[in-house]
Amino acid sequence: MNPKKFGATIRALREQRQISLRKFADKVGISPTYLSKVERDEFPPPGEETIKQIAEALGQDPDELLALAGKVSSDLPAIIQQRPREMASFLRTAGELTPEELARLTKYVERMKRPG
Amino acid sequence: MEVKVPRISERTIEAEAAALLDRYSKEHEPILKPPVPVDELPEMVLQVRLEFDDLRKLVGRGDAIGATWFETREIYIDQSLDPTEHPRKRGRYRFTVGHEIGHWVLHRRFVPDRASQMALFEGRASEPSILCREANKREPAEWQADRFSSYLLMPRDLVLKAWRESRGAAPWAFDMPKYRTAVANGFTDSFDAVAKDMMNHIASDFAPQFGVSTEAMRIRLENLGLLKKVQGRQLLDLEAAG
Repeated sequence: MNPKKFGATIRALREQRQISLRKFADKVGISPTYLSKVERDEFPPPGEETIKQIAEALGQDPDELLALAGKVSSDLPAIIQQRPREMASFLRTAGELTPEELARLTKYVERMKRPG
Repeated sequence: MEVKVPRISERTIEAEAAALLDRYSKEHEPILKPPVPVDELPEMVLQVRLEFDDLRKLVGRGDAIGATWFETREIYIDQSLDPTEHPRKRGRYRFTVGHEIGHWVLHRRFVPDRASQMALFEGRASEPSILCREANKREPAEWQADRFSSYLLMPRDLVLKAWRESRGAAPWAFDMPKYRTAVANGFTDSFDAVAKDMMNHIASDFAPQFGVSTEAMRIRLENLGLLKKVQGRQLLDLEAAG
């Protein structure tokens, strides 16, 4: 949760992938000036949609990049607000699990979902 | 600041530009047609970062359009030339990138390394190694970087090919008969001024595909002998022969 590091992180990922600033900006649909300033952490991280585009262009998980920018995907608050008590309690409990346990739980929940 | 550089011949400058394009072609993809991918070159070939910012604010001078830091391997372009935000500036943007690359390739070894001697600001010297403004265009280093950019954006073989494909093999010459026709059609300017207008008109057919200004294209076409003026002694000879 460190917005300071967002720019440096995407710059490192972009350079590893050998994509120029200009090409990457075009791909994401922003101007190179804006990208240059975001990557130098001169500007705060962009909005959710742009971060998702960046994640796709870099082959990264969008939720990870959103977290790095100090944000959560906009569909999540709505899910919690629909059933505040159950969802909040579920998340607080699940938050104590290890990543492996969480992955197992997610698979289990996916199986519980009714098809269609 | 003025950078002291030795005289470098046109031929050397052209060869340096061609060598850089060769490296890109070998390491990435061959450049078979214009426009030359000029803003890929800093990062993809030279390991130099290309940045955009408000240079007025960054270096405190009003007419700065490009700046290069050799120590930290950075080229900055003024954001007023951003090709996405200001598509009409595309030609100037590309020429400026080519110009800064020219400083990197031609002049880096003549500028003393300041890393140890200057106050560093956030890891970089606050003053760029080279700052390019409208006002210092006549300094030798600036002139050389302009020539480099011209050769880089309009490589000889690509220009000759484009010319051949659209106009055939022959160059276009502005001569006294053409001038007389122009005058008969109401032109009142001098021979040179009308020649320039006509040449710009032809150059404007090529400028967009190379991503340069009409002016830059005309100069390159003249430089390759594809556009020329026939005047004076030559002309008298022609008239005597005719």
